[in-house]
Amino acid sequence: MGLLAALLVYFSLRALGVRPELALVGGVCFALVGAICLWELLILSELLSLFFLTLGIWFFLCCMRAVSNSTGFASMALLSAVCFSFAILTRPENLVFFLALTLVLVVLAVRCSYLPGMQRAARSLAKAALLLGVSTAPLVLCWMSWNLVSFGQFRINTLNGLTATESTYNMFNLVDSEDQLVGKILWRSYLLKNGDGHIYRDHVWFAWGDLYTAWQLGLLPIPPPRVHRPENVLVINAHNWLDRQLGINDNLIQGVDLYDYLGHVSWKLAKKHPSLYLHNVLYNFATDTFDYSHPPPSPSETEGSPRSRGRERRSSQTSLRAHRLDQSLGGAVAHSRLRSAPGICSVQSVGAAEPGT
Amino acid sequence: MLLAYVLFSPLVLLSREHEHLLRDGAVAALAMGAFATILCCCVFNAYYTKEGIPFMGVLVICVVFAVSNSKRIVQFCGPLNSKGESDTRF
Repeated sequence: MGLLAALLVYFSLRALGVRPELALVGGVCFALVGAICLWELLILSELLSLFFLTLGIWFFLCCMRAVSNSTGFASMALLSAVCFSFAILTRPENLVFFLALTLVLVVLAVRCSYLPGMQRAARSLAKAALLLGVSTAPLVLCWMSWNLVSFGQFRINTLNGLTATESTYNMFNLVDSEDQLVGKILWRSYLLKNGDGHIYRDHVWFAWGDLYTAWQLGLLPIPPPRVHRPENVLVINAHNWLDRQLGINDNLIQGVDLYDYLGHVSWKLAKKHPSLYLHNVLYNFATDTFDYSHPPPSPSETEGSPRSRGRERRSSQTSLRAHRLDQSLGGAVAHSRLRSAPGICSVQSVGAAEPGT
Repeated sequence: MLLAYVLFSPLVLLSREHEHLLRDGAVAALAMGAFATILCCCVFNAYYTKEGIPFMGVLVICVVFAVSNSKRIVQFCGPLNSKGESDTRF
């Protein structure tokens, strides 16, 4: 897919009127980007998203060339929209890319309408923007409708609540009193995973077991987990088939309420402490968006290798840190209900952690 | 590079030059789309380096297009540097 994307970059540059030799250099440079080569080996959403975006961009640039040459552009706009809708389904943040692109196209159409001799191009651009919007919507709306019949929520992404914790990853000692348990669990995972100058924003995954158990025990201010199952037989059969194909289990579907609650806690923190939140956002933008180094594959992809054995050693060191942290936080004072629950030892000790430590 | 395109895109869109307006506008649209997505990642979640991979194509297109049109960029920057004002050409 990376190689196909390199070809598409070449064709996109040609569609922009770039000289063939320079376009070739661009395509070769793209193919030699280390991150593309590395992620080509991993079957994940990034490369798939790159492919669909690049294909959509090529069709979009062909559409713009057709508008410029006053020839038929509708088919190119439609193909571009289909590619963008697949890119949005692959990674939902591409919706922002598509909306910004369409908005600039509309602005360009408005601008052209004020220029002498460009009225025809202005009308074509407005039509292209409309075609892009109308043709991208059906596939995305189908997915949102599927989510509606599956678990009753008309939305494109169910994980956004969970990922919202990443922008407030170091603020969970400041939560309100009603969210204290979540705050303590996440503050503990923050302390465990961050240190020695290393920033680990998605420590929520490390705390997920404790969060889910606390939720199952009814200790969080949200309704306990429930199975969202549709009543229609056809939908149930289709759902079961898709679950089998995608390897989705019930926990993933049931977790949406907890994801949303975590997102709610994070946004409350962001509103309550805007300067800290903005500092996190700006620091993330200033450091990571200019960083083109890519970490090696995760342990699951290199199972059995010397590197993964090294990770296992680091994992045992983290466990030791967790034990020491539990002791320092005062594990003796624990929530009584949590203490009685089997297999939730880490939450027991977290219950004693004081916010602001 | 994306930031430069985003900052200069108003000048591109306000340009009176017909010949290159659509091509410049298309590249500015791609750059703005990629930049807006990256910014939204920072604001609503957190940006990780792997999230930039889908936009590598946009980045390469923007760089090569800028190199390809370097003469026009120099022409644009020339009056800007000498007179302190732009003639709105890109």
